Amino acid sequence: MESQLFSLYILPEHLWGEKTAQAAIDFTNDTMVGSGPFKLAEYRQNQFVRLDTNQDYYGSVPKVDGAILQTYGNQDALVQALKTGEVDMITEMPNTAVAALRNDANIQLVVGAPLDPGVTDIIFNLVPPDQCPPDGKCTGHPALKDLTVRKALAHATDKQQLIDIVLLGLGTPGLTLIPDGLGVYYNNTLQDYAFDIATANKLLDDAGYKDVNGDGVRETPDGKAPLSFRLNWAGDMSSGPRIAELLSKTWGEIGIKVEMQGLDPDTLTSVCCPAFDYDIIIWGWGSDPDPAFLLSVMTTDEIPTGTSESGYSNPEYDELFAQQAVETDKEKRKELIWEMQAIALRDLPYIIPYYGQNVQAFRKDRFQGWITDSSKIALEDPSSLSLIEPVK
Amino acid sequence: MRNRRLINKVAWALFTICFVIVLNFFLFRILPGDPARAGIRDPRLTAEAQQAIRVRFGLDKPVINCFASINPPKPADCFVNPLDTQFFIYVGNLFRGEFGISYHSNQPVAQVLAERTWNTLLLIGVAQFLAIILGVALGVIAAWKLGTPVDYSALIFSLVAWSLPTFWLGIILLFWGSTNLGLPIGGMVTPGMNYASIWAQVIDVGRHMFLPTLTYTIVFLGEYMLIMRSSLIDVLSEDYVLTAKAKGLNSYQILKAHALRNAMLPMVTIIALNLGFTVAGAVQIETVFSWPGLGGAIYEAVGQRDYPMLQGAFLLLAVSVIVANLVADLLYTYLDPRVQLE
Amino acid sequence: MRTKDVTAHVDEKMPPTAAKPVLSVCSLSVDYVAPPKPAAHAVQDVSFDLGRGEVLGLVGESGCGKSTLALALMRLLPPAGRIVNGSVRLQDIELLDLDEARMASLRWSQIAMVFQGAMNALNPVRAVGDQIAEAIRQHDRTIGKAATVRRVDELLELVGIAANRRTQYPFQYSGGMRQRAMIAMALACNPAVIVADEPTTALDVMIQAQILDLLSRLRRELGLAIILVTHDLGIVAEICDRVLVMYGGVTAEYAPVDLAFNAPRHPYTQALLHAFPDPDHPQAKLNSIPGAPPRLDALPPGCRFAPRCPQAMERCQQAAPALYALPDDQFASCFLVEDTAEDRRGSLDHG
Ligand SMILES: Nc1ncnc2c1ncn2[C@@H]1O[C@H](COP(=O)(O)OP(=O)(O)O)[C@@H](O)[C@H]1O
Ligand SMILES: [Mg+2]
Repeated sequence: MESQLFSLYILPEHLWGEKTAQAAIDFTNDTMVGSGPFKLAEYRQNQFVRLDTNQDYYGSVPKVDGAILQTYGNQDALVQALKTGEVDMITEMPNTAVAALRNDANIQLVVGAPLDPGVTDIIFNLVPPDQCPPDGKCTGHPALKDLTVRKALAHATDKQQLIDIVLLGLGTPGLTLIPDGLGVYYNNTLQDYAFDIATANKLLDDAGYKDVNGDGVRETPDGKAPLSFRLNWAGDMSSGPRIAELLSKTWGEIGIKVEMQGLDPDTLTSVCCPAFDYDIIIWGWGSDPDPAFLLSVMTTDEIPTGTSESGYSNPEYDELFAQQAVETDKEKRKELIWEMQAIALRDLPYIIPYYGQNVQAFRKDRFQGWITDSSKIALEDPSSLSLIEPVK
Repeated sequence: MRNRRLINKVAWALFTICFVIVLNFFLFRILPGDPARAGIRDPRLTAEAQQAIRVRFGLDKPVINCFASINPPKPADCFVNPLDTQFFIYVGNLFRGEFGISYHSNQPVAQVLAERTWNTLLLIGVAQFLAIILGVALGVIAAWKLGTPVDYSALIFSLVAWSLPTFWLGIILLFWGSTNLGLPIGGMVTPGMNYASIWAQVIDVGRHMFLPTLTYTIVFLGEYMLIMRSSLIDVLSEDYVLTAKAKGLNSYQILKAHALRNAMLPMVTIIALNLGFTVAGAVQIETVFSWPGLGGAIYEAVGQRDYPMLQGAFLLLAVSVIVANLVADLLYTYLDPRVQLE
Repeated sequence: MRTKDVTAHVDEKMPPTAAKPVLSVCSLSVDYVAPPKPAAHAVQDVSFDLGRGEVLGLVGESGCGKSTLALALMRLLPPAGRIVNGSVRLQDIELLDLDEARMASLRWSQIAMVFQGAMNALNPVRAVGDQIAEAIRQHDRTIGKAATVRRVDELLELVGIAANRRTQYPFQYSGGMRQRAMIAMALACNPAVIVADEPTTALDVMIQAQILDLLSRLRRELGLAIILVTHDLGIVAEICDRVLVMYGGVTAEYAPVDLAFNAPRHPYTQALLHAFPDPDHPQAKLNSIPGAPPRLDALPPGCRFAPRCPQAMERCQQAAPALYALPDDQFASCFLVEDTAEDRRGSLDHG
């Protein structure tokens, strides 16, 4: 619950008054009572939100009279709107537009970790049939339960290529579910599995995964099952097919075959968890500012709830999770969380190909004073909006 | 005779609407997915919170006697009061004119639909009107000048317009119009315009409408032109056109008195069907121009398993298709005496 | 050769007028041009005269160019049809020289047409009376509404249709009624000439008889000149004064009807008569003509009928015979009549 309190806003006493903590969390604030630097002036669903400056704001009152947050149905229109000056700032754009905007003298690009950093993950089904949760099917390929195979897959994953091709370079290589955008909680001391096909092949050879029937696909040491995995992704993920394609190429070089299929998010949820009716899934998480939730995803407790996607279970990790939840010393908590990341990278329930970066842009000839040097990029955040002033 | 035909048609239309009402309910519940979770991919949503959402929207009740859920099929008590099942509550509310509250936006469905439908009708009404007028005119000219360069240019233009990907055409026009004409890039109104004079508001909406309307017109213009052209070519080769010519009528008289009305017959059906279906909006055009229409609302509602929105929207669509058909039918009766008197 | 007594009908017919013909067609030729296909010579060098009150029968198998000729007279050929030669004089006006607007004003008012298959010749979505009225008003801009309606009713009654069916649609008419309505429409502007293209094909015998009676009555009462296109020799015998037998686009024989039936000179005419059931000897064996008319875009070098002609000679394969003038206003294009010919193309030479 503590980790959920961050989303509570400061509201007048007559609203918070006698509410219990749970009631406060459930409170939906439909009447839009607030205490921020802006007031809601007009709202049209899917069109725009018009904000007026709150002249009675207790902090420093914004220098602008208000702000309009306009919604566009597609990203190309968004970029065009910035170019023509219909808007002064945009919060997202297709990566393909970055190069053109970079060359526009009137436009300043800002690249960095997003406010809610995203993680793209490659999930392995680790649940053995005998530990299947009540609603589960647990049809995962047995070879994926072998850490050696997962390590080989990690060595055969070219993260830089994925970033260059899928994100057009706008990303950083991933390690675990905790993205670099989480600042101090991100363990930047870990050593990733280097992209190295030879190492990957050697790992599999030594562990007895040989291609006994000569079809180019390795078999399990008992010779029974070929290393052929189902690879699914969420159909609403535009990057899904490209990631899958690139993975199938490099993984193919170590004698591992994948059957690729995009699934609509609902179907994917139903095969994922807690059904565990898959081999490998490409999906993603959005992150809170605090790592607690993403860390919980790998705990044993979450296997039956469907939050644990891999079914990873490690008492040592679970213990650390429990400790960090009650640790009040920030530095100590960080140590615990770093250790958990080390374990996650060692045990590889996930391969994290990359952490996406956010690209925003504003017009240099309209307003100045945007916050561009913070670790996270959010020009639309009130912190930025209350500082900007018209260019003279 | 004529009245009986009319009554028959209207009765059929009403029957179809009833059928759609029932179908609408079950169709969306056959889709996999849980409205209490869909659209909120937030795994932190506790079981209790989910249950609270279900209770709030009445999803805790059985779908209908014997079924707690359709997909996945879960059995339930068959002896509950039928009036206390989701289905009959839905039907009852409909009869009271209540479409329910959108799960997602928490607004009354009727209100959301009304606003979105108006936006869509404005765009599509104007665009269809232009497309019909221009398409028919172009088709007539082409058929008239059959085999001449005029015909070929009109034909090529229409084929291209017809086969252009809507999305692509929209983006191109959007870039062109916003750069060269200074037209707005998206949305329907400029925020804050509600303080301006009514005229300024009308002009503002007009400026926002221009590009989507143009795109939509071009997309449909081609189809209408091609159909009108081929229909008119067919009619012009009919014997009665030769009779008219033999009677001394000149080309223009023949067109006016004999060819146009007959050639419009197939058009009437197509236009009516198009009008019926396009009430759903053109999701693509709405997406390109960020137009807050019905199409986008439906698209989102599907993703969110927003049953009340979906039920309301699809009922609206069905009714509009049925009404459009009915109108086409009646218009046909007026245009073609063979139908009316048979 | 069988003979057919046609004298029974003679009293019904008008004597050929000594006065100037109403319609005079001379050396008319029509090609269908649709590149890259070779031109089809659908009508070649056809000439005839038509006097007031006269009925000319135009006979021949399907595809011989009868309809083409009929349409050419009104200049209603489809775009591919080209009049390549000849003249069509209607009451001393050369139709082929007129501009389109002048031609339009003469259509129906001077020369009207009853089309093959009246179902399609009437606009299905307009009332029959309306379509007749249209023809009237087109050529008489001054006529009032009430007068038009009266005239339409009068015309309908003339062809035996009750006036109260004026507002009905073609699909509410029977086949015979539609054909009669077409005739009423053709009469709307008191034309001098009516071209009737197979007006009775596809009608049953009773209706056929009614229509023919109607036509002969009209020519008697109104002095109409009629060109009757048909492949039914019975009809020709019944109401025609002269008959023009076409074969492969050319005139095979052109003769007064009694000569054509009693003393046909062209082997094709003879063959046609053989193939025609004789009401006096219904049991007699019918001899259909073996083979089919030539393709008009690939004509044989000699006589067009030679390939099917039982009396064909060596000569017929090489050269096409001219149209020979025979005694008693009879013409035939066959080498067999050459010796008896008075002249090539005799009195029909309009220059
Ligand atoms: N529009 C046309 N284009 C080309 N050829 C045509 C056309 N109409 C008719 N013909 C040809 O002209 C010839 C004569 O046709 P038609 O005058 O209809 O014969 P009939 O009326 O004697 O049966 C036929 O061989 C036919 O194929
Ligand atoms: Mg014919």
